[in-house]
Amino acid sequence: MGGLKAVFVEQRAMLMRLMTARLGSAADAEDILQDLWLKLESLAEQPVDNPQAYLFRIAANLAADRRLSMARAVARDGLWLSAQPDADEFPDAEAVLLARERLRRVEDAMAAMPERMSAALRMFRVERRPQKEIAEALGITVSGVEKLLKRGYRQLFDLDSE
Amino acid sequence: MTRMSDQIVDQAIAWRLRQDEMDASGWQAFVEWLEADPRHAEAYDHIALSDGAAALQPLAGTVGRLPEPANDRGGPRIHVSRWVGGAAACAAAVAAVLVMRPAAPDLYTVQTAAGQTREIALGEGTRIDIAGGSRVVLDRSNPRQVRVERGEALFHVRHNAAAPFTVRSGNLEVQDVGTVFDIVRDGPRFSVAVAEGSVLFQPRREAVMLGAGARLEASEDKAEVHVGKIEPGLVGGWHEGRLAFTDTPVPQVLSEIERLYGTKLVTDPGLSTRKVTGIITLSGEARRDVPHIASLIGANWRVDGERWVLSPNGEDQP
Repeated sequence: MGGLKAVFVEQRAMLMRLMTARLGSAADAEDILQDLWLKLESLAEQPVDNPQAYLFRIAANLAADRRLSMARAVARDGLWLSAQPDADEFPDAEAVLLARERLRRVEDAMAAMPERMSAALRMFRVERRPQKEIAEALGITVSGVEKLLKRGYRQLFDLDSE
Repeated sequence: MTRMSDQIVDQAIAWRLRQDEMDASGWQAFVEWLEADPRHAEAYDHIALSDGAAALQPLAGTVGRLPEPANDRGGPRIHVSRWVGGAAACAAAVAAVLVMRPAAPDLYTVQTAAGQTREIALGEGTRIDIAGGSRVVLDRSNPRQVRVERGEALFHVRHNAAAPFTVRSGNLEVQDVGTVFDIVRDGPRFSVAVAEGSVLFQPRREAVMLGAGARLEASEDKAEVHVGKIEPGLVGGWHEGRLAFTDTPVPQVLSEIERLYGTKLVTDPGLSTRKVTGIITLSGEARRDVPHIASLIGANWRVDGERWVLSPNGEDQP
């Protein structure tokens, strides 16, 4: 058994709790862990720095993707519908459509932010760059980046509670 | 959404920011925090959802830096980063096109009768196999722009970011990203299935990225779009006489076969609501194919002059 699979077996209970907490359903959690196990087939060959952390990150990303497709299924409007039960497997194809209206508001909010805050948010959320790299790009400290991100996320969060 | 206390939102954001650097004990602490209060999970979910949506966004502002390979640091966003990369590349490609001044169009039409096929080589490894009963408009001064007016065509496109290959059909548009794909146009119905690489559907509007194995169906009159999947090996299967159907109404199956092979097939109304799922291999020779088709849709068949008549099993025995 590859290293990642061994780690999976060792961490299975904790992964299951993470998935259940994120998805709100034990059945969905089982399902996604199954997906994760299958994905490990193709990932097992590569050496990984910290296999536990790596596995949790993949799992968290799978959960986020799943939540995104669940949210889409709820919010999908009449123009773009998906008759196929397995259309969830194409999150790329549909997510854009659903999220457009909301994204426009997010974009407006980001445009209104101080330049460095929106740049930091963009690098972190969209480009998925580590905070250290963002700090270098903006010429500020890592804790400065963290502050910018916290305030920026906060503003985005508040958009939806208004 | 439940009204969140500021403290919970701040904690959720802090967890989000820490995630890339957390070790196993950090993840355990995160799980415990999620479980401690349903509002924790809700707040965190909200942040993760908005991030997911952001990553899917085809924004010009993020062009210029493609994401790291999926297995590098930061954890793989397996679908998502691939998508962002494609979108960025395409946005760049679209921008390049806008700058070019195309020559005046010099259009010509290639038309095939039912049962007839044509192969058009467009140079540089790009070719179009046109199925029977089709009408395709090409442009001598711009061989990378094609219009499918009706019927079906299988495209093998050598990708060139500076000159994207675009297929239009009615108001719908598909742009290649290095690709083998098949397009069907039948009245208002349009579909695109991708065998290799990917294409962008409506590149200037929704910019929906379709990868290998994706099949998109659109209806221009109803403004509906469905995305499903298809075994990539079956895309453009008509070229080898192999047709795949998924819940396809019988009349549509028959009209497709008539278009591809010129076999005149008629059916009793009793069959028109029946749907077909399966793969069928056809020889193009009606005598051999019609019994095969009949067995797939569960029907009897008989010959009536030039036509082949299908009827529901149990009636009208030949």
